[in-house]
Amino acid sequence: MNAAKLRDKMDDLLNPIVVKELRQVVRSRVIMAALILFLIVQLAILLFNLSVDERRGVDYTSLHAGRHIFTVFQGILLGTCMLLVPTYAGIRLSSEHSETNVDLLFISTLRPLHIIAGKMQASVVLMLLIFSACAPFMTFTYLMRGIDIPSIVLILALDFLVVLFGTQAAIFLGSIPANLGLRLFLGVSGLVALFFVFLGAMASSIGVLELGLGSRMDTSEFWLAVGGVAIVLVASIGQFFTWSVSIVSSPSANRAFPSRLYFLGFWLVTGVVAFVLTDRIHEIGLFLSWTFLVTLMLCLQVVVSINERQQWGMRVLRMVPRNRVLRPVAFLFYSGSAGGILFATGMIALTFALTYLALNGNEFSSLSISPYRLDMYRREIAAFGLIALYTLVYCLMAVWVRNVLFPKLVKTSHTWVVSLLLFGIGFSLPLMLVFMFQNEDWRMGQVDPWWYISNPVWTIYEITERGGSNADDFRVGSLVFLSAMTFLLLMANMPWIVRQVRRFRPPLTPLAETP
Amino acid sequence: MQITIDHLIKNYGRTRAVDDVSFSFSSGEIVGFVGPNGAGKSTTMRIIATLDEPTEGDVFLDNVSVVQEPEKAHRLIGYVPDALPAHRDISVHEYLDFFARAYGIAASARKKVVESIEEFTNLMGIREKHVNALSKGMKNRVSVARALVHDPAVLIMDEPAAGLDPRARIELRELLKVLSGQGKAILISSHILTELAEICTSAVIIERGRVLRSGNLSNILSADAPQRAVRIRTLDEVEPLYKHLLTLPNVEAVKLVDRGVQVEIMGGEEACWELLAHLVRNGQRVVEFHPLRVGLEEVFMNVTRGEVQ
Repeated sequence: MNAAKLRDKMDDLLNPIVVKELRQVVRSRVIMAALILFLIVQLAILLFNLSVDERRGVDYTSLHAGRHIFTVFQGILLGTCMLLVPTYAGIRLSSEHSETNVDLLFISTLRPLHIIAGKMQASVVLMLLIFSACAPFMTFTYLMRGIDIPSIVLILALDFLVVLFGTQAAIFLGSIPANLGLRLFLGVSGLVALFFVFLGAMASSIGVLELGLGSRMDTSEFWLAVGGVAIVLVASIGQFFTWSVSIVSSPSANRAFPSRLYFLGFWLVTGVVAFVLTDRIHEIGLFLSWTFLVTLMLCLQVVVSINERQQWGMRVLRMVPRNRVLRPVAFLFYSGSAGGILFATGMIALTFALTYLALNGNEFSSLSISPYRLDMYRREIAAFGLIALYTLVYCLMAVWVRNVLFPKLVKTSHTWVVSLLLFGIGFSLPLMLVFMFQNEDWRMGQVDPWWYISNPVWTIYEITERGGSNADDFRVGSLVFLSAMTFLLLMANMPWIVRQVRRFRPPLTPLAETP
Repeated sequence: MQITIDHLIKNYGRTRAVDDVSFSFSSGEIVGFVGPNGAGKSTTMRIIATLDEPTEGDVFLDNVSVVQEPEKAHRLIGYVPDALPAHRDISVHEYLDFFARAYGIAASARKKVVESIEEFTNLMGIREKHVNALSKGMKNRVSVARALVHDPAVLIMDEPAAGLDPRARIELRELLKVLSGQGKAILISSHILTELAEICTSAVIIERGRVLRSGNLSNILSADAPQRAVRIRTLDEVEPLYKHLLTLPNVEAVKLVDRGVQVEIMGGEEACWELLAHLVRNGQRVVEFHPLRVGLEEVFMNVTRGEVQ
């Protein structure tokens, strides 16, 4: 094979999206300006720190100087990457895949998987460019003492994963077809979320550097924790990836199937990781973090599912199993509103059942949790449970309102708006009622918490912050009440669910006849 | 290739945008897709191009269903939207190269394919210009070039002539004729009916999501003429002929034109023949008897009501 043929072969292997995106990146004035500014800021901060510290009389023979400057650089690197890469990737995809303008690349022979993978790969190249521009400055801190090379490499690797996570999340938001208003809302929400991820990553790395990273690297617990964090991050990236692929897939495709299947795998793998880490590191908070993470993801699935299709085209129906045992399983995993809600509800129930068993059973008996911490954990689990139950209640109520009260007015794809309106009413109505009818108690701060039961924020605050036996009663009572509400709303929506179950059957003839 | 639009229905909530649309066309045909704004033309075209999913019905490209096998259909369809989607920081050549890659054209052939398309669509001179910096006419050419890059058998063109200057419109018309000659099946929507009538072999008239007329253009034009105009010239005096024609039962109106008369008669070709036979029997020395063709615009105005959904 000669050089030209080899080059052609390599060229064919490249994802077209990567080639296009990188061509655009190198021509983009915004990116180039940001990169140059990034280098200038790094240099300026390094010089500024050195000069100010010198005037302050900081001793550079101390063991902290390198660590201090490294943290500053890490802040700049992470801040730049979190702001630039996800925003750039998200905005680009959003402009290509809006409600009014579906880019023609979505009707090329490129598969949705390749489109999202290409966007991600192009972002990785951009990230590598920024990381490599920062690397000389960060390595320089090693010479200033206070930090070792393995710590630098490890923190950079975790930062890389964090930015990758942020980028994939931004690509997910950008892939949602929306009008300008919704795109702006999603963009601002995404930026706020990225800011908190940035803060979290910075706080964690500063914390572990303060504790001394290098000295802990030879313990198995340390690597278990690092491995656990990495697995959860990679699995989360994968989840956002499959969601993005589902969104950009053809509307007639069975879009939910890969993402729900992946979620099941995600739930199992991260659950096992959380269990093992909790058992080895003796910190049950890790298991509760898993509960919190999957609860949030399942809540998102509920919100998405209420907007999904209620009937299927031939493309999906011909894949419905003819086997009557497999069909109900397929109903939960295939695209479809009722199936999605039932899948998420079932997974939420399973997650909390496992968490309850883990906390109250013998699984973590060796952890010897103090009664105080046990109570704190119970409150946290109750708070997670309330988040899930409120999501289910408001979403199921929205489905009922759409189907029964406004069947002609509300489009299926806009059911989330109804749930948001109901949430708004549930949030504000108790405040007004209490102000009008319980004014005296309100001023004294002695309002019965049941007045606020439709307000998720107030209820969660009550059960996490207030103590005493009354608070315990309210915690159990609110969980029972909301569970009952969820059950009642499921029953109220049962005719709608049953209609979809009945429609979910393979066609009588295997394939539509071609004329 | 036979393209069959089979009982297509598309609902947006309670609004039926496309209502049981069926028609077909084949390779080498240019089909004009005509209708008022909001008639359902773009929705139908987007469904054919796999950008939308029908509520009911299907589109078949020979035996490939665009609903069930959109991935296969993508290879067969070239779609030209009314406006080229925005692409920042990319040149015309890079844009076409990207789509050639996206359609899986191997590197060994890609350069040649892209260059031949650029030459065919007359883009060679502007291939290094940024797509966003181009005029509407140039962008339109890029859009056509992009749709042709994978050599599709079917071209779906949604208002490609909108906003083009006269020169660009003429160039587009010539391009379509060449493409049709190459055996491509072309479905084109436009509001410039006179131009459509010049290049189309068939037409589909749609309003409120329903097909009002479809088929061969000359059939549509003749079928939808309740009265037709005929230009007559004889070697005799015009005035007596004019007066005589006004006495005939099928004649609606007569006017003097040039060195003859223009008669509007009720009925189809039979009525024309009867009139000619009558004149000859009466001893008129007829040297010209020329039925005037009814335009697509007249047919369109006759069959549509200008209603939108």
